[in-house]
Amino acid sequence: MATSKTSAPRIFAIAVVTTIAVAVTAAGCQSSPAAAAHSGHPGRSGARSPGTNGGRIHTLSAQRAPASWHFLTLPDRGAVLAFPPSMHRVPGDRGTVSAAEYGHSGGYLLYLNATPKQGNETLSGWPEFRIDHVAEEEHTTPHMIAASHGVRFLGGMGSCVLDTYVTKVKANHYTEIACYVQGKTSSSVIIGAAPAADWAKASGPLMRAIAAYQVR
Amino acid sequence: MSSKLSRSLIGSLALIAALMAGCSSSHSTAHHSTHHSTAPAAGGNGGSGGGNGGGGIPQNNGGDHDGDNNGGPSDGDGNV
Repeated sequence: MATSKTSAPRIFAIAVVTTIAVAVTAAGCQSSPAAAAHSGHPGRSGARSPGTNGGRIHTLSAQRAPASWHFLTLPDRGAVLAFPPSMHRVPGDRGTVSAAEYGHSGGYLLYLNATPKQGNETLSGWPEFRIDHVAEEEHTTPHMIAASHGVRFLGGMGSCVLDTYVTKVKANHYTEIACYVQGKTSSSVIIGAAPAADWAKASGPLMRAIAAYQVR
Repeated sequence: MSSKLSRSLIGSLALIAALMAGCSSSHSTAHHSTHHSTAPAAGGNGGSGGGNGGGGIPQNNGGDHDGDNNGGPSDGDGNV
């Protein structure tokens, strides 16, 4: 019986320590980056390259489009957007060009847009500019996955950011590569986007189209 | 403190470490949403141009009425 008297406080101590362990672990998980990414605060902490999706942006480099592709020239003639035959031109803002491919249900499969420089975009500050712009003007919860500077384009150099966001309207979740490109006489932005769930399949043709983007 | 109690406490601390390690490893797990993405209902009108009000694009078919105001992907505009 003497043994049972001494084991009671021992069991109590173990129970206390175990409870603290679970509480500390739960608190730590709640404050994880993943949780922060869904808190509505954009990922402004800098470029990261998790997994293969983030790494692919660093392989982006100028490459001429296949002969079978289609081309759209910006109205100011500052750049040429190339896109595969599965995509077609879609309406957009005046002064811009866009192309898209839709699925059977009418949802986007692929989206490309080229827009002349309109604001304070710079090569050095492009990733943060884009993330801030998406956060403040159009969508919620943008999250920067990776960024790359000094990217070679046909006729110029650019900076690119790979990010993901959820739209305010309809809560659509997209992943995009957005590049700001400076040519000799013009600067513009090219966007390649697709539903986040389809990014693994969509990133190939979108990156190929961005690589074929030609600036002047 | 008895040696048995010490061993028990050490075991509990090991449990803390194991749980923390499991939590940390989940940080790099990619998150993928299952939201369905849809094309803009009305499409664009070629864009209204202008509209550099600086106040952001109103949502729900506001602003320049292009796809990114209707749940479509964001275009490359810099300030409209």
